[in-house]
Amino acid sequence: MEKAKKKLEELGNKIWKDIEKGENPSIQIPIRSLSNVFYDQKTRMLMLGNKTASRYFFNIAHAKKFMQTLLVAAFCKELIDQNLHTSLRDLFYALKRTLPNSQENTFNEQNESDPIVVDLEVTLDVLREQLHLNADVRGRVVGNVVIEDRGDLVDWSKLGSGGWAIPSNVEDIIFKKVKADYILVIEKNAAFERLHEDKFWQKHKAILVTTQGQPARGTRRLIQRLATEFNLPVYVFTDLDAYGLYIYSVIKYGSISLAHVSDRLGTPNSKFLGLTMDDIDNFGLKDFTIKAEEVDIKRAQEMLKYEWFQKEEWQRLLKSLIQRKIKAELESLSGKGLKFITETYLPTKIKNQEFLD
Amino acid sequence: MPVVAECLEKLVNKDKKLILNKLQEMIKKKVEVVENGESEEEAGRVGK
Repeated sequence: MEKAKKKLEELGNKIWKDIEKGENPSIQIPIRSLSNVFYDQKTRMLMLGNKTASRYFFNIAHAKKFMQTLLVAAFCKELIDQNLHTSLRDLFYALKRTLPNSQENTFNEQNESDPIVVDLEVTLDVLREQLHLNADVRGRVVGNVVIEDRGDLVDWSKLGSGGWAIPSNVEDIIFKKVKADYILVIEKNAAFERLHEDKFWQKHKAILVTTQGQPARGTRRLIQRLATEFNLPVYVFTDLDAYGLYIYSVIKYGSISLAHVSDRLGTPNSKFLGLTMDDIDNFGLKDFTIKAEEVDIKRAQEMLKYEWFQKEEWQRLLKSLIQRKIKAELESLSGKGLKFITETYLPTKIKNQEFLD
Repeated sequence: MPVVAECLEKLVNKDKKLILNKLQEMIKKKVEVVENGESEEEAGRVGK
């Protein structure tokens, strides 16, 4: 029997036993907030601690989430029984309905059902994919790489302007040929498009990955697999603001909310390539910066306290964001000319090994 | 309650009417329903 199905049944049986004993039915769920996440110096990843929360049915504050948890659990069991797979979006729509004789919906928005799926993952110690759920596709890649995906050979160097769309599950991808010196992970689509059009990956033997914002799990896993299986350095290229720096942190150490899967998604050898405040000064980009919002400053202040940002260079960068109250987007490099990023900025930084670690 | 019973039926192969009856019995026997809105984290600590 599939592990996930067995675990779902065990969860159901535990609740049934509570009911038979006349006890308030409950589910023990590992806490996924910063209070239960620690930085493991040995693995250099964020890991989940052992604090748990209890979700009770007969508790006014928990009842709806308890019901939602069982709805998702029962839905996943049906998927496994029928050997079907679906997306988080589909799950939300399949389960959204108004409860009889009330105005209350089971779920109002997808941002209610997504965390319940993660709750189930950590509670049952299974992966989302084992529950037969996929996330929406996000992230693209180009490079001199050939893979096999569901029996099809896909050459990442021959996919025109679009590149290969990274699926949410990359476990079964087989790498047939990988010819690259490093992986360049780019936060923004526009910068990826620029580098792709200029054939940066060909000239510099790089694999280019765009995360299109905060990286999806499939993208993080693909980066980790390429980096570890082919011993490739990973350079992360993001905006100069707290959110950009946190994208780097997520790729390198894992994320707070998904700390339970850091070992499968984190790439601790990743290095931060930019943008940095020194770049603003060294490359004369001051005129292309923008004023930081209050929310940017607040996020930088939070990150100053994170254990994994305590190195002197990171403290210096975060403090400079707070003090100078400016930020810069990757697109600002185009202010120096459309090919500045391809011909000057990246080659200079990579040649001089100007990384933050 | 009917939704929870329906879901449990799928998870443990028990008749949803049986589950619903049991839950209704619990209500009749005045199982303590927590109304003070304590968080799951607080409830977890109390439970440990």
